[in-house]
Amino acid sequence: MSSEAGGRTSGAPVATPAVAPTWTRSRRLRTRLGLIVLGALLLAVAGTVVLVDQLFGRAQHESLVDLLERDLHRVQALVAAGTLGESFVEQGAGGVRLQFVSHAGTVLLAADAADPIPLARAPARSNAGERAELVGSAAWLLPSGLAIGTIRMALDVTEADADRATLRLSLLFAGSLLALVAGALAWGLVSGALRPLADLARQAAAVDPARPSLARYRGPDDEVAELARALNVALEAIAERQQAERDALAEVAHELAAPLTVVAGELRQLANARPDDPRVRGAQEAADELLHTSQDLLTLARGELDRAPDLSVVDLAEVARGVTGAYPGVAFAADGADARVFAQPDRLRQVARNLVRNAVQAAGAERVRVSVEGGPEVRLRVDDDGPGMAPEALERVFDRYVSGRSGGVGVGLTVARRIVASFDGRVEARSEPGRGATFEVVLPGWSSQVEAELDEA
Amino acid sequence: MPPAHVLVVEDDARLRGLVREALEATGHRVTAVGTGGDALLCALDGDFDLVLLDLNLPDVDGIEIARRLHADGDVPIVMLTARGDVASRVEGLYAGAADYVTKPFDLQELLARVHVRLRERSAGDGLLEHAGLRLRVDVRMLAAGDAQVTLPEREAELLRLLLSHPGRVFSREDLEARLYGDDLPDSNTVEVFVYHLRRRIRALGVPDPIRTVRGKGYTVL
Repeated sequence: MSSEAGGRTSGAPVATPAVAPTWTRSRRLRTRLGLIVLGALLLAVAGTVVLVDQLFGRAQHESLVDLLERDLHRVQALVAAGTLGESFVEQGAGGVRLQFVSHAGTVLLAADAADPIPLARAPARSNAGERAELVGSAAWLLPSGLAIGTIRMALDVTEADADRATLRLSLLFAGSLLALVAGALAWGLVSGALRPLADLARQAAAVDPARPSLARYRGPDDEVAELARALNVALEAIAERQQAERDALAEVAHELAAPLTVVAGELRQLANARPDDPRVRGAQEAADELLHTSQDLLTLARGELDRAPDLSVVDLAEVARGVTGAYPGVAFAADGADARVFAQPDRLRQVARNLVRNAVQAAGAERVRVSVEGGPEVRLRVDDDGPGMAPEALERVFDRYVSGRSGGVGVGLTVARRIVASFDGRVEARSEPGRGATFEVVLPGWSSQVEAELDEA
Repeated sequence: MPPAHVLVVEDDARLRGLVREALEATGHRVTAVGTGGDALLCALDGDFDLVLLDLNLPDVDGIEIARRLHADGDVPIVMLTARGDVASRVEGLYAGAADYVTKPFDLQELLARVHVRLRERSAGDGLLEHAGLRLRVDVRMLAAGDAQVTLPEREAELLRLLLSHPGRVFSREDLEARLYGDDLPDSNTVEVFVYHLRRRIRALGVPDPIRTVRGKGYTVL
């Protein structure tokens, strides 16, 4: 069982399972909107094709019927006037057939008597094989006014039909193309319109509860903008609340700082003057503990770890040896390899002190070992033979105000982890119930942090 | 270390007493005052090696006092602050503070910091020696072996800072604040100074001790 801590986040980790569904849902929304738009477009195109085709067909039919009736009446009038000769009938005209039929139904006069034109009271279509015709008839009147049969006329409409088919095809083609282009455009627009939403969701998911930053919104002033504003109002309230807590703590700290410093300082002087008095020494140790715990709490409360540390090259072995010296009974060992790191000396001491104090409180000084390993990665290990921790406790041991063991406020390890993270390092914790615990600080060695210098000629 | 004269400015009498006793116990001479006005008066005729300055004084703002003390001479100032907020730290840096100690503090820690600053001061006055380089601060003369060169003002100040704190990392912002104060230059000026300094050092025939710490700043080793 091991738990690793590093990075900048503090407090509760970002809940990863909550992120995935949000994202898929936003994707589904985009697909759904795209499909709706595409469907509407296809429907519009199909409707247009059918409607235009029907309207065109009807208009075409009417104009052809008109033509036929006019021609029929002209022929009827010419025949009745006796001015139309047989040659006209036999010769025919382009696409128009004319037949004179007796009442008995005998074709009396026609260019193509073998192909009779059916009788139609009103103009109607007649389809025979490949040929499509519009047929009509009028009374065959002699100049005397006597009706002796019917004049039948057939208008070839094959070409008109072909025209209509061409129109239908063109419409279908142009419409599909248009639908495709418009569909792509709509897809782009929908995606674009949803991007601020997806962006907002990502930002909301990434908000660090310890340091909430406002969501940025770029886009039109619409419902999504409203959502962004609402989100920011909530985030601002959280930030204000946290600032208020920090301010209050800073105020308390200000009140406590001077007396605490005086008590710890005077007791230290007193202990130096009377090294053999165990009561003075006890009081001094207690005061130091109070001082250091307050420093941990205030370091967090003041947000001091939010600013960059003042780095120097520091020998971690030297720091660890110094800190261990204040806890008689704790064993110390260093492997002698280069253990220099870039760190802020007082904070590095704070880290070592917190880890050692934590172990001493858990197991007693006699059962704590501190060791330092140098090299490209410098390691400070604090082992104890104490009661150890269950995996659940170990996972939460770096959380603020959670004490993994009996005693202690539970900020020491939080502070240690954050300080180490500010030096680009990490703290690892390993433990099993009944088998003690190991806390290990891992920092990059100083040489790995320095850029190779290019020697210029 | 030679005994130094330290001015302690702190309005809490108990704290003032504690710091005074502790400094005197390590052999230093101490003048302790409780107000900003007294601090400025003392600074007029006192010859101090270091000032311990509380930021939160009843009469004058600590930052303002730091600014005036800094303008009068280059006495190092260690600020004591109870709030430890970022803004006042940066402001203090511009005003000339050399270091910060946050209350409540460990007396040993404070004494250690004071000693570091005093050591720098005793070195910073005259000759700085490091890695085969010798810098005479007053005449801005950099020498190595028999070769020597006079440095332009800002480069000399930059090298003085780096050489008087070997191993300490100065960020670009830090260096800018210390070289220019409030009057901030173009963004890459520090890089340009470092570049020129390195060329001058190499021209003297010694290895260049300036190191770029990735993403952090510069230091000398």
